[in-house]
Amino acid sequence: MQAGSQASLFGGGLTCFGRYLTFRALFLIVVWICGNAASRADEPILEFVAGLRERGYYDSAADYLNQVMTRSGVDPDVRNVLDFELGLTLKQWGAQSRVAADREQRLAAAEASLQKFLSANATHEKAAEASSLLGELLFDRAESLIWETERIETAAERAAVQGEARALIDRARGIFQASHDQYKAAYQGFPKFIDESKEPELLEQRKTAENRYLRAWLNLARCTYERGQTFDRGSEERKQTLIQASEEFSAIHTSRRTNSNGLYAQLMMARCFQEQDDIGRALGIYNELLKHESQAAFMMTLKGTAKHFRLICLNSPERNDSTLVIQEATTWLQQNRQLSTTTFGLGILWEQAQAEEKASQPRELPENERNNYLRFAMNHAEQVAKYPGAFRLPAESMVRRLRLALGDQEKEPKDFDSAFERARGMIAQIQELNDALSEAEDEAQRAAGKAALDSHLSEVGRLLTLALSLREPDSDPKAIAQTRYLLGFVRLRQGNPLDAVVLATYTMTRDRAADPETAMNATEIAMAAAVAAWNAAAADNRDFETRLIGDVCRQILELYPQSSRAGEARMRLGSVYRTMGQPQQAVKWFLEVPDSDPQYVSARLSAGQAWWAAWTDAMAAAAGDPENEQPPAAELDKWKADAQTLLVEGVGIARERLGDATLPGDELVAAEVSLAGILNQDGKYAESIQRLTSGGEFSVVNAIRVDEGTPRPAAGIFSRSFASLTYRLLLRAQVGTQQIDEALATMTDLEKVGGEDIVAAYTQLGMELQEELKRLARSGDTERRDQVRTSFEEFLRKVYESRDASNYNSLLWIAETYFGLAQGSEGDDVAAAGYFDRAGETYTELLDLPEAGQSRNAIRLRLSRCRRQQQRFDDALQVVQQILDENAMNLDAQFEAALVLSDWGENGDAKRFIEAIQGPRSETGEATSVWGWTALCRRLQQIVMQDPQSEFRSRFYEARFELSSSRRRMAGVETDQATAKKQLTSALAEISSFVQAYRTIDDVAFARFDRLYQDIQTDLGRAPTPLNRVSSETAADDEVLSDAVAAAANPTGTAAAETPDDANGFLGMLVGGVLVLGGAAFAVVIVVTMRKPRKRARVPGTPSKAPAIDPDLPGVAGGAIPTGIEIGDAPAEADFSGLGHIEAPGRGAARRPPRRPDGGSRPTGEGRPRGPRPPRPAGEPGSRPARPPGGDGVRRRRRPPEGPGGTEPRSGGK
Amino acid sequence: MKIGKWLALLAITFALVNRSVSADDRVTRKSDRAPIRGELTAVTRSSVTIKLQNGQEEQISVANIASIRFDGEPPTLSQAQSNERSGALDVALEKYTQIELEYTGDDRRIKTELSFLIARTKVLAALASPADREAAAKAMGDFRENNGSNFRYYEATLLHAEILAQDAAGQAEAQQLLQEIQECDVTGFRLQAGVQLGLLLLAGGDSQEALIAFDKVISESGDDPSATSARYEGMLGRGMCLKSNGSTDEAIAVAEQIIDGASESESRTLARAWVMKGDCMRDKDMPKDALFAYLFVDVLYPTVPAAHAEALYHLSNLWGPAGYQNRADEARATLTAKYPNSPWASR
Repeated sequence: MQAGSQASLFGGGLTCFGRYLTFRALFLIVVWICGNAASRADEPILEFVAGLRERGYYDSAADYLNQVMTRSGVDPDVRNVLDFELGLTLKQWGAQSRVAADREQRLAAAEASLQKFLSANATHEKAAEASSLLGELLFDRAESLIWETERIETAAERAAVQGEARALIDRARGIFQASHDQYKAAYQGFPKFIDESKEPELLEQRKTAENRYLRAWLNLARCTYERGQTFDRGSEERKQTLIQASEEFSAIHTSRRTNSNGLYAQLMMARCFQEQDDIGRALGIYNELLKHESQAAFMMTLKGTAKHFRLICLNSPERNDSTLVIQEATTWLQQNRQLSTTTFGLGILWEQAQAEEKASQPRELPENERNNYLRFAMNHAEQVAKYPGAFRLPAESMVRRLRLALGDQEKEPKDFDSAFERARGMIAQIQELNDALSEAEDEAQRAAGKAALDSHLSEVGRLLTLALSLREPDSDPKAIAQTRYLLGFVRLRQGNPLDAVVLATYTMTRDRAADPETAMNATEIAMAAAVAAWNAAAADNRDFETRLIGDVCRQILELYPQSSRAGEARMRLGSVYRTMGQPQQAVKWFLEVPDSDPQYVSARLSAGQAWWAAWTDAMAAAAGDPENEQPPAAELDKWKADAQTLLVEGVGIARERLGDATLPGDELVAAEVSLAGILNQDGKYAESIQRLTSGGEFSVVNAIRVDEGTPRPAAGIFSRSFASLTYRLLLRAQVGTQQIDEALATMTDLEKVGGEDIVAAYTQLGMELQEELKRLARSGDTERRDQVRTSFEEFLRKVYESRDASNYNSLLWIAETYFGLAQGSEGDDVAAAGYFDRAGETYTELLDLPEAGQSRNAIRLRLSRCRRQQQRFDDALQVVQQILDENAMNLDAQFEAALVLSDWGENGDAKRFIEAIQGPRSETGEATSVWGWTALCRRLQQIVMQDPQSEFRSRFYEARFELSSSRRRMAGVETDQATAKKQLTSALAEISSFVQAYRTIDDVAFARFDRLYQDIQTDLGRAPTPLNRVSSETAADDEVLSDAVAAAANPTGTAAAETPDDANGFLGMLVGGVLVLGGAAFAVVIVVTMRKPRKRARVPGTPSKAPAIDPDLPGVAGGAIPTGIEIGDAPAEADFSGLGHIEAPGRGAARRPPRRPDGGSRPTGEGRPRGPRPPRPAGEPGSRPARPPGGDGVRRRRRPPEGPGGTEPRSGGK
Repeated sequence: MKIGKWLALLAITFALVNRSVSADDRVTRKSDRAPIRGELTAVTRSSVTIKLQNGQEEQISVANIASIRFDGEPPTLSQAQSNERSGALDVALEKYTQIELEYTGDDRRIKTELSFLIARTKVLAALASPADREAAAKAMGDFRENNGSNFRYYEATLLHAEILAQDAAGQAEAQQLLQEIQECDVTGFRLQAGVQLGLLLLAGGDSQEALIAFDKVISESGDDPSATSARYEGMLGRGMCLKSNGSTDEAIAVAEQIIDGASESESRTLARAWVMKGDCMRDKDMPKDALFAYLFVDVLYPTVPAAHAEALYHLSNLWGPAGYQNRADEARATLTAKYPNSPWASR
């Protein structure tokens, strides 16, 4: 092995030059050079080996361990475990190996190493782990042998292999039994009751011991089950062993019904029933497991396996329900694409293939239907046969069988032309299948339609790939270009956008000479695919995709600078740079769109929106983190001024083109609303009102109206959020001009828009007011700030006086507005106290109204916050305690309670800090329903460990911040210096270990921790040094591991427990807690707004997600969607501000509600199918593939575009 | 009887004359992809001469030959060559072997060509399958030994050197073969030998000398159309040297020059350029960029076995972290199914 590695390093093949000289190879060279040197005392041998293993460098890890074994001076503690480490490495290497001989060789070597370790270290602390590993290893080998028996036909040969497998299982059983007894004794050695609050570490130790014990128990039952598999089907031995196994699994499940081991045991119990032909009982259990709502990785695997087993049952002769199998398998595979190549994923696909073959068998079936079933079955079997495993052989056999059954019609093309022609002939059917899918009336039809489309796309893609592989030097270059182009389209439709980018960029650059039209058309696929890749990427990891869009656009500009695509490319580049937070660059590209381009107006508006978004982002950043560096005020003013100029210019041209008697379109409305926002910022309320209301029935406010009772779409100018924003801006302007009656009318409109969410709108309004006041305070414009406060006070007074006493909504608005005024009056304690008092009183009044209903707890939270700000801590705690007494799982109430206690500690009662951190105790010393920061951190950590993408991640960061912050605040009031220092030191350690463990922490949160870290150092009298940030590159892999490190460094002892069930339960209850409130949207909004800090406070008047209302390529709405193909699945607009649901301009009809009876002349476009249309292959069947440019080429014109961008079809089409 | 003998002789003479008049050998030039039809009248290591139907003769350098078809060659031969081009080397080898077995004609040129094609296919397959290297090297060595004046001789020598260089034990012999080619009078092959010598130096860890060798190839290739392949391969070697010296960005720039400049027929060089770019991107800790580079090989150059196997290996490691575990599994399955003996498959 060693020699091999060296050979590969230094004498490797010529074709592989250079690739070995990677970091890894260089490291190994170092290792090699140092190979015979004595080990340095500080060489982290075991950590290094673990790191290599973690990255899959098993060969290097084994080489390194072998070298260390020959060295002198190795620490004896390390030397003792080298065989163990080698065994572990070889076991993992073997398990990962796809070559059977290599696998067997490595597993055998692993066994030898582990045996060697055990014989020399029988009492070592790792002995039990080594035993378990050994048992699992034997088990793995036995399973491989059992698989093998499936292929053996003669009974005698089979019996020999079965015997061999049985012997391995029996040996494994011996080892598992010993581990079981040892772990059971260890587990039973712990006390039955452990107080979590007093002895959290002991509790964790017991949980670990329990898990080990259950795992060993489960392995024993698995031994019984697998032993059963070593007997032939139908034999008495098999039956008896299965009965015994099911009893053993049942005992485990009965003992632990919700633990992961218990659930796995339940699954296996059902499997035993199934194998005993008790299908009904097995199905009952599978169904129960499939109902679990958890999305945790373990549960997804368990549910996937349960689904696979269920389908086997349904496919069994007793049930023979192939229709249901096809339906369920199709749905599952569509919903779990990423799991499709797991063992259970392939199993499900295999069951589907079998069901499809069965479904083709009825004699009365029309021939085309039969052939369809057979073709589906063959495609799926081919897919299964690609992967090693138990299904490969039977799947290969099925493929051969079905090829024969399908006869000549499936005869494989033997040359480029025939492969291309066949694929070309299938292109049109893509649209038919797509149409059928869009017309599906229920889930089953949709699943079937999707399956048919997927299968068809797969076959077309296969044929096109085949055609490319069969091309000859003298093949028609035009046809080759079109093959690549069509394949790009198919890959895009299949959801493989990067493949599509590869093909399309190649076509557009390399095939220009051979087929300019196709090359030009490929630009559309390239751009759409790049956008689709961007949309598919994780929101926090899109740098590559953003650059990709930029690269594609630049290529298009370079290749086709004068084409309409160039205009679109410039627009997209503008969007890319806007996303990257580079408004100057964004604007540069927008403004490069020439005035002859149909998208010129859109470009001006987009440029204006880009400046405005940059300004609002800067304001939001300043509000979220005032200590962050901001651009100079003059520059910010210029951004805003330029935004206004460009928007006014764009709006002017658009209005002129549109005329007075036409409803403005999406883009124009969005621009007017942004302008209203700018004008409100400048205190030009009258102009703002003018922007929004002038034009009567063709005004902006009228343009966003929908018919009474018509649901608003999720996005666009008709969306609730956009309409609400528009009315809030109008209301704000009316308050500014003291137009009481008009404002009350606007409030009515706002309430109508809000529906059940009206409270959310008021809360938002309050927040915006708060931000406005803060911004004015920051800018030093106290005069304007006082004016705003006065005008609102005056307005509130009038509304209060004129309100109907039972008008819940008005009262709510008043409360929220006072609250906003209070929050926005930082630095003016007297004014703030007055506002908090009035807000508190109004909330109290609200609580007495019956309408409070489900919003009661949310109002209580607000009230508590008012009381806390008023330093009426006792009252605040009482209010929040009421919520927690009803439901301790209310996360926001827990946060509020801990914040009350922290503030209380800092303002008069220092001992409250202890309660804030650890949670208050009752008089008898028992924990209460208030958890405190430590327990909050621990519970949130469990959720985040289970699901790194959890929505609770930011709350976890927040809790960790508050925990350390509370320690610092406590130290600030502590009179005992030693105690204060201890708290500060603990806080430092907490922060340091936390950021080490959670490397993907976002920049804003990290900056907060960094500042706190440096402040604490200063408090300790040290020179502050910045917090060390570890690269997040390997974070995903490292976090779980690092959690252990973090936990170890955590003085509160909040180590993550190995109890997914607990965490699941907590999550479930937590969500439940929120949902109880969630009946009223108010609760949710308040809950959101209660969170600190708000990273993205918005400035009224801007689209919080600008492109959401700024279709951004509005010219496209006027017809710039490229011809022939409609990229529905890959939105033509990369929604760079975060609203991924925005559709391509020009497809606005899909999001537009039914038209109002009063009509208007806004373009609609209803009825257009949403799915992407396939390109038309060039030429007619039978003709040569390519056609001259301008002919009936590969693509056809889209329907004539409508709307302000022009109504003429583009040239070049028929 | 006498008359009969004369008549027979006359008939044979007529047949031969007639054959020579209507002989349909075809040579396709690399430089313009133009097929030239006529009769091959002279074949040396350096060139072939073809007599056109108008009686004129044209000499074509071996470096400028894209393909040759001999009059009367079995029709299935072109199918097998197509399989070879498309990367289906096992199918191609099977067909060549079958044709060789079944060929009953007496055209020695076809028999020789078949033995070359078989050896070449073995070498290409063995580049991604170490276990087959020895047999491939023997087949090519035998061809060279028996066909010292064949127009395939230089190509065979380069392939022989390439396969020998895969193992440390064969590198000295490979070097000798390359030095032999460096003394030949065909620019394209001479430069190609320079490329392979550079690669040998690089494999030995002497990147400085290797860089000198590659730069020499690049400068000597000038604008000679017959040296285009060598020029791009020289650039690729240069990129590898830069990469091994840690000049990753410069190596990427070289890879991009190749990708932009090389023609589609240089698929092997292009595939390797993309692999090099992917490797550089990995060195720069830009996994998605690396994935994208390797994907070009998978999508556009799956007919280049060694590069494709390597790209698949990296894709199988990169798709997962990018959020596509199914595609990682798919890449791994393709790697093990298509290149089961490749060192990348057993990693």
